[in-house]
Amino acid sequence: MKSGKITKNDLIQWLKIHQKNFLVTERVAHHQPELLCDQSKEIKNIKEALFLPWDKLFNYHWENQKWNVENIQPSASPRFLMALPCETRAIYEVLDRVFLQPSETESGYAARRQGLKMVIVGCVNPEPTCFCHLVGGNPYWSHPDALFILPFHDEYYLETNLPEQFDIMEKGTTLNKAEKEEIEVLRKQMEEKANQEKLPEDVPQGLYDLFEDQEWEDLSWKCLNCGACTFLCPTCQCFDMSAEGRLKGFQLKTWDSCMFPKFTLHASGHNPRPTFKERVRQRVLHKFSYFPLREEGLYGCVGCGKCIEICPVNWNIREAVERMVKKIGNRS
Amino acid sequence: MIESSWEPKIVAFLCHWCSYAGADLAGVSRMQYPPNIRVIRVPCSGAINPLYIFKALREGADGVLVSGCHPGDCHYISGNYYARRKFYILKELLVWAGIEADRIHFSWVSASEGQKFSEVVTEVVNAVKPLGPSRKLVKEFSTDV
Amino acid sequence: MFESILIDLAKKLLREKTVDLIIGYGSTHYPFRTEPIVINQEEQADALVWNPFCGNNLARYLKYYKNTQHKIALMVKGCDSRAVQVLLKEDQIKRDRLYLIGLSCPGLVNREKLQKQFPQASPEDFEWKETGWFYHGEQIDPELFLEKTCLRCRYPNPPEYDQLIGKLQTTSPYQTYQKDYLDPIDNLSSEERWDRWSKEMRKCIRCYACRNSCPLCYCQECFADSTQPQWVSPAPTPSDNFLFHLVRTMHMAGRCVECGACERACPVSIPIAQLPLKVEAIIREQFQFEAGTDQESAAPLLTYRENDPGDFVK
Repeated sequence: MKSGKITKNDLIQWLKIHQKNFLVTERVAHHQPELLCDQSKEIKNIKEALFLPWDKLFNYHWENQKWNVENIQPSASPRFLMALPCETRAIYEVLDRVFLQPSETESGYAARRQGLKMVIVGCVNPEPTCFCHLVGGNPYWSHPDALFILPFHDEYYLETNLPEQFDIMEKGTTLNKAEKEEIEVLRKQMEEKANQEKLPEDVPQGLYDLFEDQEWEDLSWKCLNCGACTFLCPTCQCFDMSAEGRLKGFQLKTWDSCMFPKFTLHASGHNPRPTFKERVRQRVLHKFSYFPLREEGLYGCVGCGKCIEICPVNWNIREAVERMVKKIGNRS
Repeated sequence: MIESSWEPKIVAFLCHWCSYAGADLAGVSRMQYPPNIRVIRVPCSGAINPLYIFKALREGADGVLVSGCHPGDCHYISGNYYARRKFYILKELLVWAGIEADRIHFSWVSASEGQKFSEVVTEVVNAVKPLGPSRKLVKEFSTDV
Repeated sequence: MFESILIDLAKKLLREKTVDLIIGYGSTHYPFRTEPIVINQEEQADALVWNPFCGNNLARYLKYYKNTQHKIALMVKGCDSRAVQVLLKEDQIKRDRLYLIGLSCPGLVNREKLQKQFPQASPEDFEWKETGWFYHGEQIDPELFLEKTCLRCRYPNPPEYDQLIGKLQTTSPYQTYQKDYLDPIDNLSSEERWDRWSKEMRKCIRCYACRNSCPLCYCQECFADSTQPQWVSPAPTPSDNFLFHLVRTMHMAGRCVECGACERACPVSIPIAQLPLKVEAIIREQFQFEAGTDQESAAPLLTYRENDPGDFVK
């Protein structure tokens, strides 16, 4: 693990060199606007870089009495993606698991993922809506394959396990012992706090057992059933497919939302999630119960709080979970 | 200067009782007018949902013409009155949204006005041609249907 | 002060069983946000609030009760009351099932503007008196922090209510801002307008928050969700996004009550209320009609006059 520090100016110089290949999430641009260069692209949701809002999967046409399918070879130029730890965790721990399964790799996602180099900006301005520590994250979370930068005194701390990918490491200066210790202490504090506040282990199973509880109806009443939360969520991964074109066309993959009434509409006309109650319940349970039960305790929510921030009625998933958790095993 | 060989495609919604008959009269009378329109016959101009006009633009129509009976002569008594209000609002909205005003046209053509119909079509084609192919509101996906 | 009157009224309504439930605003953990709540017990009435952050149009929730027997009390600002009027006219609910708690509204605060202009403020720092808005006792320009749709409000008093909280306002406080919202676009050329709208439509993610927060979008199946036929594809391409909004605007023509809930709901901050507001301005000018102000006049698209504007027709 190579670490170092760099002045703000040098960091910005390096960003400027690569600016055309940089994607920066809105959160980073909002809190540290100096890190967004003119020719970098700001994206609202980190998953836009990998899981596109709309995507062509393959072309087809009818010829010689059969369907001819032409695969579209996805390609992506190498890019940098700069985001906060919560958002990046969504990629590494949730979306990668969904789209890069060995048996069902989505080639478009895989191609874009391969060319992507992550730059994680340590979070120093949490929003009032954030709650990453509840779900196993922390503001200084990092991944060894990524470049981690953190505002540190007047400069920036750098850290990565792949210095060959990030030539900025050459421009950094080494830390002295005191500084190294300070970083360690900070990191430890963050981890401890996160561990203390993490949701108890029995939550996924407990929520699952509360499926028929009446509380879901009260909780979900005010939800408008739009898709704002799902479309701005970095972990939401539902998609819809449609064949565009009759005899000649392409397979279209678009974002879909479990909040839309037609999401689970069967061809028979039956809808297992007919009202807001079932859909809201499903959203909470998917992130806090089904996903962790399947993925060994890993939550399908990273606690970025974006959904709470933009919900028109301020529907609060954190409050909802805490409310239901209180009912698990009738604890008070 | 290069002469453009591009010809606009105009979708024409014609009401069955007046405008369609007027267009038919223009045909049997062998009146000459530009061949750029594609006619869709509807029972009444009042039956035209603004969605049809949007769909025409979405599918790549360079211009849209909607034609009905003269006010007071509607076969269904008042269909064209409602249409007049609806299309007034629609046109104002589209122009305010930045769509060229000359892409959407409305006319009253009665069943005996074959001459007028050919004049209207000529006017519409001449208005649309200088605007070039429609690119606003055209769907990004090009497929066969 | 008004909140205690409101809470007392709510308790009385529930105690005397005048209504079965009350739909109103409650507070949240966040100082500048409220949420819609529904209460059916007297004790729950203490949760009700009324402040300039009560942005949702509560008439939107009436569609859940269309076929039930509940008697409902609803907190309605001027614009919300107009929405209820439109719903009554369109037979979506009967008047005798509603008890309208009218709210004399000084306008809603825009959180983004608030953060920019008064980053350290808390709700208690603001006060609305009849002469205007005051921050720490000093009068301030409402344009600095009020919602754009509220700056051009023409109905600060609810046109229909059973009980009013607050005093009737004699004039609309913001008459001077009438033109500012739409004029900037009126003055652009066709290409400039298109550029401006394209830029906004590129941001749209088709979450339908605007549609779902609107009290007058109550269709069982929206045209946007229709696949047979498909009017707009589910993919958020700029042209389909704009088509969706234009068609929705046409569906709102003559029905929009200009509450601005759509614009407040938009997660990507598109000034989406400008489209229906422009159409309503046209309808006011040409057809002398305002949605939700009375029960007698016919909806503009369901009636006609002999001398309707017709110069645009060849």
